[in-house]
Amino acid sequence: MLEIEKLEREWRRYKLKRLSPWILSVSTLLLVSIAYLLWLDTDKPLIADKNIQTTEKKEFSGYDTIEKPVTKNVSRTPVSNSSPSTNLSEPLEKVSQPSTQKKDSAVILNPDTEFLNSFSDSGSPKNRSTSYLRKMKEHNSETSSYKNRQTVKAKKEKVLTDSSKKENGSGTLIIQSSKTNNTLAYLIKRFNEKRDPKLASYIAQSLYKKANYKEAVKWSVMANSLDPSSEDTWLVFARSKVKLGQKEEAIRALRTYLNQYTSKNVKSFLRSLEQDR
Amino acid sequence: MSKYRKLQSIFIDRIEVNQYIGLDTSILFYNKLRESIKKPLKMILLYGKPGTGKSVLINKIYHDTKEKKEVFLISAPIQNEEEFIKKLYTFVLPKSTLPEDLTYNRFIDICNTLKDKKHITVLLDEAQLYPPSMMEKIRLISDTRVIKFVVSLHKTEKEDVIAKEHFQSRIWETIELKNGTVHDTQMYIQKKLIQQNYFEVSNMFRKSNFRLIHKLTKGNYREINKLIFTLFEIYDHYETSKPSKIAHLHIKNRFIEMSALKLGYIHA
Repeated sequence: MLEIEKLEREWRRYKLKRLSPWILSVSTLLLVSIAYLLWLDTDKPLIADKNIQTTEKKEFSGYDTIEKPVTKNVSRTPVSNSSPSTNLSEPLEKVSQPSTQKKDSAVILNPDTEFLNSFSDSGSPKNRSTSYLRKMKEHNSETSSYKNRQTVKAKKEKVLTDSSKKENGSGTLIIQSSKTNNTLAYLIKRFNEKRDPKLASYIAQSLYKKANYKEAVKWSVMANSLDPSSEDTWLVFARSKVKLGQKEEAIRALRTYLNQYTSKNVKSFLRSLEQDR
Repeated sequence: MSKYRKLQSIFIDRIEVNQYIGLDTSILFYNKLRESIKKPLKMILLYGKPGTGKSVLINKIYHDTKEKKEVFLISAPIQNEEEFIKKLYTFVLPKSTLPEDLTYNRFIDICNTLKDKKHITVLLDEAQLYPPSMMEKIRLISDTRVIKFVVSLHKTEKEDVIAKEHFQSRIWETIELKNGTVHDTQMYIQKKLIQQNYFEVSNMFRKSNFRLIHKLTKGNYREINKLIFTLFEIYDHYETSKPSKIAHLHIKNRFIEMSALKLGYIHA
């Protein structure tokens, strides 16, 4: 009598025995490949980080206006914004500010909130921070914690500026941000470390949800300067602009985007804006 | 009887002349043996490993030539010397009555009297089973040239010695049968199936199946029979219990391997 179940079990064992050397070698090969890829992966960011640090210094020197009146010894010259051709920042926002020319100075920047300094229009840094904080009070608790952070930072910067005043000859300026506890601040800190356009886009969206449209515009510009093809950043920008009462700018931005790319969402949003005219 | 049961019966290991499969190599051996029988030889040695088709070939030769020539077949060895001599006597003088006091010496005397008058061929299958003393007597009988022996035996180290010691001077022709090639394996299985009109089953076998069967059986026809028999046994089982398992256009190597496992050709 044929014991088929036993025979099937035996066959499975036989097949496994026969294939085990293959499985072993293939899995070893896979592990080696994965290890190699991981090694490559960890290697790449190191190189990329260097690049990011370089651009970060350049870009943020452009946004860095808070130090302007304080670091008197540091002379500033205008620097053109090196954003892509379809960059939002050029036609839509005058984001570029005079940058600090670093003559014999080693500036270590960790400027997660630098750009925020450019939000305020004019006046002394203190006044600008205060006006910013006043605005922030109107927002939720998260933004208020953001405000605290700004206050702490402003204080720190003041101290640092004082010390830089003292070390006038060397002209060394060290700006460090304090530890943040809220999510948005953490995201901003992460963004400053990684320069990830998706992160910037996410921050812009978060700010838009919190009705902080001006900041949302700034962050969408930031995200767009890193990845002009992302439709989300253009949409947040346009929506924020609409909320700020600048519908025409929003329409112009969306049209600019559609000249280069195709997107159903952008198209439908543009259509709805044009119909509401 | 189910289809696979019938297929099993085709691969039962038995010697049936009407089921002889004319493979390229076997036809070659067949012709060679027929030519050798025609030659004035004392003995012909047909040897090879078990399952290489010696018995089938010797039976085929016997059935094809018995009408034209005086060819006789002793398929099962006769261990008793007296019985063996009596059998040979009936072959040599079929019409005469058997003498009561027929001994080996008496038979040699009779053969000597028939020298140049009578020539018969006796096919001895499974000759390795004859005791050495009997083999020595067979050698002496062949010296009379009345009886030509075609001795079929397994090729083993011991049997090689037998061949050397007893037949070296008398054998003029040796034919060694070998296991089949992959092509022989394919032809063997397909011809067996086609012979019984199982064309669709024959088409179910693919090249990879034949290669695997050849690898497992080393081209030995007896082993091929056993393997295919078991294969159809498995198919028969699935047909009654799990038909979906065998619902394929081709034979799955999995089932061939299962058959090999059952027969102990491979081990888990």
